[in-house]
Amino acid sequence: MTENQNERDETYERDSWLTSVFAAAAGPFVDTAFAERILKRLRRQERVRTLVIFGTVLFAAAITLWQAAGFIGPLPTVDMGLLKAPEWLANTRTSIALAGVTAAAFAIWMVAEEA
Amino acid sequence: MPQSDEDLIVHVLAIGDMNAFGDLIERHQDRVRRTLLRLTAGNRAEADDLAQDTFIHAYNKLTTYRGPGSFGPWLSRVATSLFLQAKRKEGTARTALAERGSEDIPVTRQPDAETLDLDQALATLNPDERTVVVLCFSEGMSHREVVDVTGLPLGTVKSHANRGREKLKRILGDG
Repeated sequence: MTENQNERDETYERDSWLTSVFAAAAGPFVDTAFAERILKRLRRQERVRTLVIFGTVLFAAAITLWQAAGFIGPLPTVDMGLLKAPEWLANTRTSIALAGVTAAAFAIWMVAEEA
Repeated sequence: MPQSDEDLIVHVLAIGDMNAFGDLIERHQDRVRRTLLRLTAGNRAEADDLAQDTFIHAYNKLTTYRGPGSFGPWLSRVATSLFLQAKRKEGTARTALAERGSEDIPVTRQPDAETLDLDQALATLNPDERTVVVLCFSEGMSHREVVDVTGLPLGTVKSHANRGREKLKRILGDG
């Protein structure tokens, strides 16, 4: 018998009256709608999560296609100290767009977590 | 043959089986909602909101569950942690409002026709005392387990348990 179990048994023994008060007041909570409400929230959360992943993949695919089509060049790298970043990433307009998309994705994710 | 909690958890983790998680909710909602109803001193709306958050949190953190055979107590721990977080947030908000000069800050408490004497008695305890009393006498946790869940020192847990029990006995009248 563990130390915790010993201690718990002593507690029960000392306070059997209070334990019985709690047991008597424990009404049943069986409610199928309760589970449905939670599953609905979880499904919504999963949908948003999938949307964010799908959106990110789509964005990456679009960038690749633009690159392939020659709209944004062959992605040469520029020396940024420790990192070798693609030149288009260093372009201000693209960086702002990327930051915006990332922020939007993060916001959607946060809302999904809260939902 | 009914599946064990662990079987259902494996289904949820392996293939994201929502129905399996629904079965877990059906199986454990009674314990979670009852614990939270006691912790909130009979506030059914708050208890149900926290119970929903408990299962959502449990779903998102299911990979951190270490069984076997302790899913119910693990859920109770999650529920208690969420309750304590909510109380801390509420306490911070109330302090901030008080510092801004609010005279009377209303306590959100929905009237409930089914409120029992026990809930009214529990409402007279402060949140920490109530938490310790519920975990010890309703959940059957030992003092050391309560320390793990609440983060309170062992001496504080013991004194809360004793003081809370005496208060309840005084109010309810020891039979």
